[in-house]
Amino acid sequence: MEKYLCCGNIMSDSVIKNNIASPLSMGGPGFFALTGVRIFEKSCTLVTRTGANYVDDYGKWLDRHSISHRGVDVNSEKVTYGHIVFRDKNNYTADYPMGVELVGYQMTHPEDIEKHADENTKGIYLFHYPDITVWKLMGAAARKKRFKIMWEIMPFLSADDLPKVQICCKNVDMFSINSKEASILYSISEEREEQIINELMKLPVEMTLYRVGNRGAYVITKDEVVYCKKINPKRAVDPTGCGNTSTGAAMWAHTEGYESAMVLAMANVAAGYNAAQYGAIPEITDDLMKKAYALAEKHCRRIKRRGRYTFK
Amino acid sequence: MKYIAAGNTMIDNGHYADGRRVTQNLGGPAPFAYSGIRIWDDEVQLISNVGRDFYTIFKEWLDKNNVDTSGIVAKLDTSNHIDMYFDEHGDVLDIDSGTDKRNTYLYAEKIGYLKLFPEELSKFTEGKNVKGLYMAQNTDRLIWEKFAEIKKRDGFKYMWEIEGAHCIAKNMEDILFALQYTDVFSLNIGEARNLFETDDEDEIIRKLKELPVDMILFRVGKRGLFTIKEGKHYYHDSIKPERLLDPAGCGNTSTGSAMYSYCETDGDPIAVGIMANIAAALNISYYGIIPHMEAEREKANAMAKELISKYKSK
Repeated sequence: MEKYLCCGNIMSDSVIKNNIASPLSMGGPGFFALTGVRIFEKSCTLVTRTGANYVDDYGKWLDRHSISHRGVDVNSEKVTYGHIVFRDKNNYTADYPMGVELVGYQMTHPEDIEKHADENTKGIYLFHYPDITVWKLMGAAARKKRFKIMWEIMPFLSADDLPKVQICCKNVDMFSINSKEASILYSISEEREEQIINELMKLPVEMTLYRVGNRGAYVITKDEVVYCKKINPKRAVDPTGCGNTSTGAAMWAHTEGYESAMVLAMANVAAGYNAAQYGAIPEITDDLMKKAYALAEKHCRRIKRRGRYTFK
Repeated sequence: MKYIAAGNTMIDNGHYADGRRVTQNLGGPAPFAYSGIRIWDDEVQLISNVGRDFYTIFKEWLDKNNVDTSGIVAKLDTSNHIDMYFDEHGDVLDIDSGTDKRNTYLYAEKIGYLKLFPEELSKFTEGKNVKGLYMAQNTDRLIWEKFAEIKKRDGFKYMWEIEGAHCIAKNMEDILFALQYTDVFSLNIGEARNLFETDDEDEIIRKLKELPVDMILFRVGKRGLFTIKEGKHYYHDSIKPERLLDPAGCGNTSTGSAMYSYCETDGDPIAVGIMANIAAALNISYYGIIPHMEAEREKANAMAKELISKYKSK
C-alpha cells in the first residue's frame, strides 16, 4: 500500500452564493485531504466507503493521478452530495438531499484503516468525531502498524466535548481544528486568539494545525507557534475544502519531518490551490507539484524571517 | 442460532400525553424484533452496532435474559438516543434528538454510522443454519445485491420491515427489486398510504396483494393488522394488553414475532397474524422492551393456541 492514507467521506458539493449554485464538484474531507497530500507526494491513496457512481468522476481523478482504487469500498448506490450555502465568507450551512444518514453510512471506520494500512504506511489523515472508542481503536492500529495519525475534528462541537478531545488526542500525533470550532470547544471568543493557542499548546499531540479561515493558519507545537497568512497562488474562487486540503498537506509534511514553518507553508499553499476553483484541485501535474513546493519554500523562508510567536 | 434480529438499536426517552416521561428505554428495530422472537424461542441472536453506554444502561436486562452479546459491537461511545412524543391515543407525534441543529445532524449521521453492513451480518449467518432473519432496511440496490448473495448462500427466510422514509411511490421500482429477496414484507398504514398514494384501505390491500412476495404483514395501528398471502387477506384485531404503557416498538416487535411464526408454521397467515398481535400486546404493557421475555412464554403460547383455534373454527 502507499505511504499515506487519506481516510474519510467523499462528497460532492454545490456552493450557493447570492442564490447562484455552482455545478456539483468533487469534494468531501477524505478527497480534499488526498489532494493536499498528492500535491507534494505521489505515494498516497484514498480510504473511503462510498457509492458505486464514484467511478464517474472521483474514479477518473484517481486514474489520472495513478492512484489505486484498493481503498475504495463501494457500500451504496450513490456518492452523497451537499448544498453549501454561504451567508458570508466564514458562515455557511449545508444540506444533504440524499439524507444525513447516508453520510453516516459512508463514514470511515477504524477497521477500514487497519485493513488497508501496512508496513509501508507512514501517515494517515482521518476526519472523525471526538469519540474515545474510535480513537482508542485508531491508536491501537497505529501502534501496531507504526503509522502517525492526523485527526481533523468534525464540526458540531460543544464545550462538553473538551474532556473527550483531550483523551482522544492521546491516541493521535497531529490535530487540526478551525477557529470557530476551537472557540466553542474552549468557550473562548475567537478574537482571543492567544488564549486559544495557549490551550491548544497543552494538547498531548506533536503538532496542531490551527486554521483561522481567511487569515491563514498557525502550526502549534509544545515549543513554538508559527503563523502564516493565506497564500493564493491563483485568484481564490471557493474556500470549500481548504481546511481538509491544508490538513492533508500538514499531515504529510509533519510526518516527513519538515520543520513547523515548512509544514505551515505547505498547508497554506495546498489550501491556496484548492481555493482556486470550485471543488478539489482538478489536475496535479509534476509541474504543479514543483511549483507548489517552491512556493512553500519561499513562504517558509518568510515565516522564519518573521520569527516565532511565543505565547506564555 | 436459528433466528437473527439485526439492525439499529436506539435508546428511547418516551414523552406521553398525560405528562409521563420515561427515560432510557431500550428500543430500536433490532432489539424490539429480538424480543418479539425471544418470547417464543431462546434460539435468537441480536446483531447490532451500538455505543459503549449500551452495556452499562442495559446490563440488568442483558444479564436477566441471558442475552448472547457476541453480535452486539460497540463502535462509538454513545448509542443513538432519541426522544419520542406520543399523543393521547398512543400515536407518535414527533421524534427528535433535541432542538439544536448540532444534535439533529449528529443524530442522523450516527444512525448511518452504526447501521449494520451486509458484510458484518454475513459473519453471523455463514454456516450457522439460520432459519429466519429480521432486519429493517432501506431500498439501496447495492446493499440489496450484497444481501441477496448472503441470503442465497445461507438459505434463510427474510423478513423485511421497510424503513419508513423509503416507503414512497417514487421508490416502487427499488422496492420491487428488493422484494425478489424478501419472504415476508412488513409495513404500516402510513407507509402504505405513502407508497400507493391513497388513503383508501381497500385499494391499499388490493395493491399489496399484487406485490411479488410470499406474505405481507400490514399493520394498521391500534386496530391490529392484516396478513396477506396468495391473494387473500386475513384481518387480526389487536389484542387487549394487560397495561397500556408504551406503544414504542410495537411494529418492530410484532414484525419480529411474525418472522418467527412464518418460519415455524410454514407461513400460516392466521398463526402469523395472531402471534404478531400477541407480541405487540406484550410490548405495549411495558416501557421500552419486554423486561423478561422467557417469563412471558407460557402465557403467550397458551394465548396463541386458543386464539388460533378460535380463528380457524370461525
